[in-house]
Amino acid sequence: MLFRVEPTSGTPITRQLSEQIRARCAGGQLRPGDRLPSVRAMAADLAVNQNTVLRVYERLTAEGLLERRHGDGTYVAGRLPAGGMRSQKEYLKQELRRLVEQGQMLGMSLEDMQQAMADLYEPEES
Amino acid sequence: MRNPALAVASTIPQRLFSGLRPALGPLAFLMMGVNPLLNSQSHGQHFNYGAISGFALFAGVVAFHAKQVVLDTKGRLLPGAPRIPLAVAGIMLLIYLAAMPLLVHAVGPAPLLPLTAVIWLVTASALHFVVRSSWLSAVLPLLFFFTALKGDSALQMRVTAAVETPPIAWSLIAFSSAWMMYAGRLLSRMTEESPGYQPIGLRQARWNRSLGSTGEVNQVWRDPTRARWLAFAAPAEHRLQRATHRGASDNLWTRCRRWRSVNQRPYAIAVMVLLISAPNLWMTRNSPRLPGGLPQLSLMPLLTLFALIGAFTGLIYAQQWQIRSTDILKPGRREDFFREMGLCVAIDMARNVLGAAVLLAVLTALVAPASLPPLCSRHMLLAVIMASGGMVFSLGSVVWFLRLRLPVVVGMCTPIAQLPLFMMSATTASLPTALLVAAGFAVIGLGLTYDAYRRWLVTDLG
Amino acid sequence: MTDDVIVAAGVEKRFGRTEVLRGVDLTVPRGSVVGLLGTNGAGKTTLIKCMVGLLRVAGGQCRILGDDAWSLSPETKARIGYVPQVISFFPWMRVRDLVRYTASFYPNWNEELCGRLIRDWEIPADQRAGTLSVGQTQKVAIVLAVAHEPDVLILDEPAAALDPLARRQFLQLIIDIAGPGQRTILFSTHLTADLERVADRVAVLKSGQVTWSGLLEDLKEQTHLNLEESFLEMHHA
Repeated sequence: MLFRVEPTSGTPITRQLSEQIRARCAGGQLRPGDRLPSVRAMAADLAVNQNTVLRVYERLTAEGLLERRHGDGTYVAGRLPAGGMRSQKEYLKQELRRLVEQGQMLGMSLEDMQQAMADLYEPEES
Repeated sequence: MRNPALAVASTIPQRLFSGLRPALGPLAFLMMGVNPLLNSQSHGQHFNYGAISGFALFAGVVAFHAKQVVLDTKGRLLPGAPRIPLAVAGIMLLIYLAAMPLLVHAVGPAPLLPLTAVIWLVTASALHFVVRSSWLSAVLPLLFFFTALKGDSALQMRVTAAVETPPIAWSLIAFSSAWMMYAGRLLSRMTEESPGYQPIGLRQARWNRSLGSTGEVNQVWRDPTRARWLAFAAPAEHRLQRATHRGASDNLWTRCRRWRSVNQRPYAIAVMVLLISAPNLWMTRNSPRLPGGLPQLSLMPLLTLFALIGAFTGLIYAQQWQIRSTDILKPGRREDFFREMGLCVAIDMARNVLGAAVLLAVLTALVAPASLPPLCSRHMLLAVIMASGGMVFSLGSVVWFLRLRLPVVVGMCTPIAQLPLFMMSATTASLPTALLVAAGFAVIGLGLTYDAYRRWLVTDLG
Repeated sequence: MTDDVIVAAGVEKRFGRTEVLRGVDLTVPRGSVVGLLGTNGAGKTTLIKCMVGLLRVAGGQCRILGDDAWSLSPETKARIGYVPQVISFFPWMRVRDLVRYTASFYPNWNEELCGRLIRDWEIPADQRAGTLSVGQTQKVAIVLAVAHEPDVLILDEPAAALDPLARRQFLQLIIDIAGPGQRTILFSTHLTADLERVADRVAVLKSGQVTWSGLLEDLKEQTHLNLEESFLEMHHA
């Protein structure tokens, strides 16, 4: 499971990471009961401050998406909060709009974009 | 001004002044100025040989400057920087070598040829000393001076006569020239990567491997043979160790030792000071009864040595302040830091002064036993009292002037430190007067140190 | 109050007639990693020196771990690690001697950590300090500042001279040391990219005053700019 953050973007790392976790939960890549990497491992992996990761975990726990079991680790909560899926898709649409705009600027046609996305999908499917 | 030689020559004054940075420069000039002042009553060679010591320092300045030029990568990178920077230093040295004997000859009635030979010899050794920081390079001129110290003895006559014979003088000059060229070659090949690249003296300093730090000390304690030896060599420390059963880092004495261990070795200072004062000693020996009839004057070299070495020790501490000051953040109280620092300066000063004095006395005893008796008289007591006052004063003035960061002013501190000594030599003071004067100077010195601490050291820590 | 490790309240500092700090207010909560940003000459180094007690403040107060910065107790000093901007060592001391010398001051020196860092960073332990490169010197200074596992680590431009690899290693080290909310780290820098990774709080020093301080994410949420852009924005406004 690969998370990626762009520290130099205008979006805070906490937001980037929490969106990614939410998206994975919404998309089914993370299922209820799945264990997330420890704060330390996640921070080392992303080369970001552990406080940042901790804050993300805490926030998502407060939202009910994650569950912190004391002395054990952080897990995806048994039941996903209602409405989570819809907001996620909303977010994804926003991201897609941004990508499409960029593609148009680069002169890519709809087919080109679709092809590029299809290429990206394949390895994930396997 | 299109002429490249002229262009190079025109930078000399500027380069001369930039070379004065290490405070050796003003020192040299002031030494030259002070010496005739001192010896205005005594004529002839006394002045000349005293001046030679100043010139030796000047040679040191030139070499130091050359070394800085060689090592200054900025100078190589900046557009318009001189292409042959060493040439400037070379020209400076040549001017000095040609002009100084003439100057001395003009002022005093010394014969030109032997004077030139001696100046060249001293210059070569000073050059080598600054370039390579090898104290061995000072041995030859020192031997020369101490041999000559034997008063009216046949040896001195022979040495003087030898130097005055043209063939020997010329060969001495040739030898010195070769020596200078060798030092110059060392210098020109020096890069920043060279181990001896530190500007002055620092290469002398070696980390004391056996007692390098507390860790090492603890190691020593685990080795019974060495522990016994240490108990013999450093009984106070041994007793403290046994009494407290604590790690070596816990008591003031060992912390002092640790300060010491990171401190610069005193060889560099000692050699430099000996080089300066040896001719003075010779001068004094040659005139035991001066016109003014002041017996203290015969102790002048020793007094100068005392005060100079004190000033140098203090100067080194002040110059290393940036390195030392961050140690205030290591666990320990502020007061402890300053107390330990003060104690270390005091111990270093005492050790350096005593060491140099003993070395000088031993050398004198070996070479010229006749000049020892005046050292053991009541004047000795006066000398020590005055020198102690002068030392505190010199430390204060060194540290105080350093805060101005004006090299020329910093360089002035040494002659100023000698002030009490000059004053002393000008009067036939009694013991209470001497004590009073010394105490007065010490108080001023302490005041200066305090003021420097308040205004400079406190605000510029780290 | 007890949760603020470093507190600067109305700190003023003058050098002669030049006013460098004009009433700096800054608190660093326990466990945070704070990046101190500022243009050249904004007073970062001066502020940091005031905070560790290398400079005496002209007005206001600096407290660190509850102690007044000017009169830190030995116990507090043992809990502070500091890397100055200009690092100077005795040039004739070898790196291993420097380590031994420094270690002898600290009761809580972690020899294992120190040795590991020296190995990982490929610091030549037998070389004399005077022959080290600027980057190597900086590495040594960092090792010496962290090997006693301080609770508070204060670094003045720590990564300026490090190569990209060493910088990444250094950032990892900072992340490692900081832990989740365990140690407090304050570092000044003008490399905003480093700061964005490692810092969770930012303080911006501008002409002797802290003009903005708070969570980095709050800044980004407010401005939607990255740190460099907001920094430039703050200085153009």
